[in-house]
Amino acid sequence: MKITVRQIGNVTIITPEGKITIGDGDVALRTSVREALENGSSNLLLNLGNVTTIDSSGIGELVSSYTSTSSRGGKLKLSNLPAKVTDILHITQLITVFEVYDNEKEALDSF
Amino acid sequence: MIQGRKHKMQNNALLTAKSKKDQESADNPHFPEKRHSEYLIGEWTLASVAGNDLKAMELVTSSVQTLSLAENRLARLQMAVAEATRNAIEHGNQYSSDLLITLQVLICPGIVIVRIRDQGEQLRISEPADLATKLAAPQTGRGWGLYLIKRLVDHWQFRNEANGHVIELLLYHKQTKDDNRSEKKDLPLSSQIYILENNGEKT
Repeated sequence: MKITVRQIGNVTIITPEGKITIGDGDVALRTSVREALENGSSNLLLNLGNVTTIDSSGIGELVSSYTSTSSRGGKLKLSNLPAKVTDILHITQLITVFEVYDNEKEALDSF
Repeated sequence: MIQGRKHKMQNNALLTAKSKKDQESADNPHFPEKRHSEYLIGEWTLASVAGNDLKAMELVTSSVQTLSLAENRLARLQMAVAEATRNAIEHGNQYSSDLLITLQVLICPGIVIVRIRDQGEQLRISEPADLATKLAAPQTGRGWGLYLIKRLVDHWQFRNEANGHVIELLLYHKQTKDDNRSEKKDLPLSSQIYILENNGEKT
């Protein structure tokens, strides 16, 4: 799992690549989100376009990241969801929880 | 450690489980009790080590490849098997080197059943029935496996046995109308509601 963090305007864009699964990416994602929040970011965008696999731990981390951000008064949104991730979010009904955008530009414009 | 064999078609007894009518909680699964004869097409034992959840997924995938499941149906089964096997390894056998996971794949017309048995001590399944309740709980990043399993397969059931636990996952070959929905309805296949008998606690 590789994670890239960028700052565009007042939005921190976190882009994980590879798996977000137990023991392989879940902790890294959590760490990246936590560090962004600790560094004062309150607008987070997770670009999931390069995520190849997600499991229940990955889902758990997405939810945990969302609640951590929200509890600090921030916003966490998702963009570029692969079909598999979209399917899982539909199955779990979490698609109704997250703000999801097709691409980064649309997501950035929404903050 | 993995031990296993593929079976030629051989009869397998119908599932039996203690059931009780009219005592439904939101957590209890609906599982079709009466089905045609089932045939065991694959059986393996796996060590309780990390990574064997994925091995279980591979074994099940291999055993059902001739059934021509739709791609999205197979993907759901794969994920459910991996999640359930991981629960068995982690929560059931608690990674004990002395305890094994038994994986069985059974088929009957139009249906695939995956049975995963561990040898752990009694567990209690405790899973919020809806997303709002789930989200209201403290989020640790874990604890979404069973929630996911329940929504990936068409039916599931969990039971404690004398020497462990069994979870059974049932998937219809054909896509259901629920496949593309975010909210599934219970399928009215059985009025029998399985009552879980538990002593312990499961996360």
